[in-house]
Amino acid sequence: MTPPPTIYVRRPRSAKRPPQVLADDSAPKATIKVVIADADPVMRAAARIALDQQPAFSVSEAADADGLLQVAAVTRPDVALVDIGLPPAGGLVAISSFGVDHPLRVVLWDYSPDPARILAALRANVYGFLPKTIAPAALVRALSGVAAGEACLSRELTSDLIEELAKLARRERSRRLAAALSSREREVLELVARGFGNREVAEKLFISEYTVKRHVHNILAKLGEPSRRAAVAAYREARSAQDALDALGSVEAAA
Amino acid sequence: MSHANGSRSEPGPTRPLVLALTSTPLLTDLLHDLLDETVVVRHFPAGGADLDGLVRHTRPDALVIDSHEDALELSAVAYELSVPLFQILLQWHEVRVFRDGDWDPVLPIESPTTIRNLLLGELFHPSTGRPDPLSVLSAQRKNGMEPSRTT
Repeated sequence: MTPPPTIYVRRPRSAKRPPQVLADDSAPKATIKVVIADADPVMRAAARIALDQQPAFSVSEAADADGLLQVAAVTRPDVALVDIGLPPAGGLVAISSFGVDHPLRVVLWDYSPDPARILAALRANVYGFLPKTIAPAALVRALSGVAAGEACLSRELTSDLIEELAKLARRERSRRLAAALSSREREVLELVARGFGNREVAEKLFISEYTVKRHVHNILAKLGEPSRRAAVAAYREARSAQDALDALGSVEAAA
Repeated sequence: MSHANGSRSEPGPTRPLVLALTSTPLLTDLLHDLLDETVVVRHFPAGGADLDGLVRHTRPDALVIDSHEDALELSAVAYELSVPLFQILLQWHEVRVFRDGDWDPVLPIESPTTIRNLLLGELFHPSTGRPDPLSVLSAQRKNGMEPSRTT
């Protein structure tokens, strides 16, 4: 029988600082196995140095998606720190191979994480998202927390994410309300959004101006908006929400 | 080479000072690890106020930065003080050096040792008159001294 491939995992050097308790004090201090998956050898080395300061960590590395899969199969790490741009197709695609029931806890990291990417990552069952500008001690704390079952997001990313979620909630509300409009009402609102007055809308749709006014009245009631301008703004939000959903669907399908 | 921290007055050879003005603290720790015992690395956050003044007062032997804005701001003072300026372009895995008033061609960073070799090559080039790192270390150990660390 062919022996399994040997993967060398460097044990941490003697700690330069006293070891920190990683979980609650009563739990046995088990080794946390981490794989750093990043094509950049500088950031892999930098992250390794931060983690090697802690005797509780055992670190391995991978430079691409295939390497990550191999290391995960051999060393069975607890946590993976994965670059969002991991070759060949990105970190999200790389981790999709693991499946939702895989015990590996994935944290993505990036130089300039944006809220949309963070949301996509969280939908992919990622445990956290960190900026590469993170301090070494914060990285250690974050990965220790993830190993203990916590999620991790830096304070700045959390604020961005909350704002993005609020925006999405507003758009989703608009989208739901807009879905309640009849096709004729949507036609009328589309023309109003393009700046046409009631008479011009009536001419374009071959209906009376009175009928247009009635449609506008119903639209305002269904959308819960007090004015044409507010209704147009809500309609544009709804369109934007639908476009975002369609785009997200494309991203997930590609992943 | 003298330093603002007063190591000029310490007996024996001193180690060059590298000032790392980066937004990536992990990179600074890596520099410490790569250059330990031969060079003193001090970190200040990138993009801070009056970096020009900071460089003038600390008089480093080399500067390491990782942003274009700081490259623009510091190239003049680096030229004036004859301090080599290393810009590490992490997102593109590249490094470039500013010396004698001009930028050298960009180099790919194959591994962390690329950065180490560039820095040490510049700091201990024979033209600097600085003793080579090995003789510094062995002289210190012979005299029972720990490698001098500036504050």
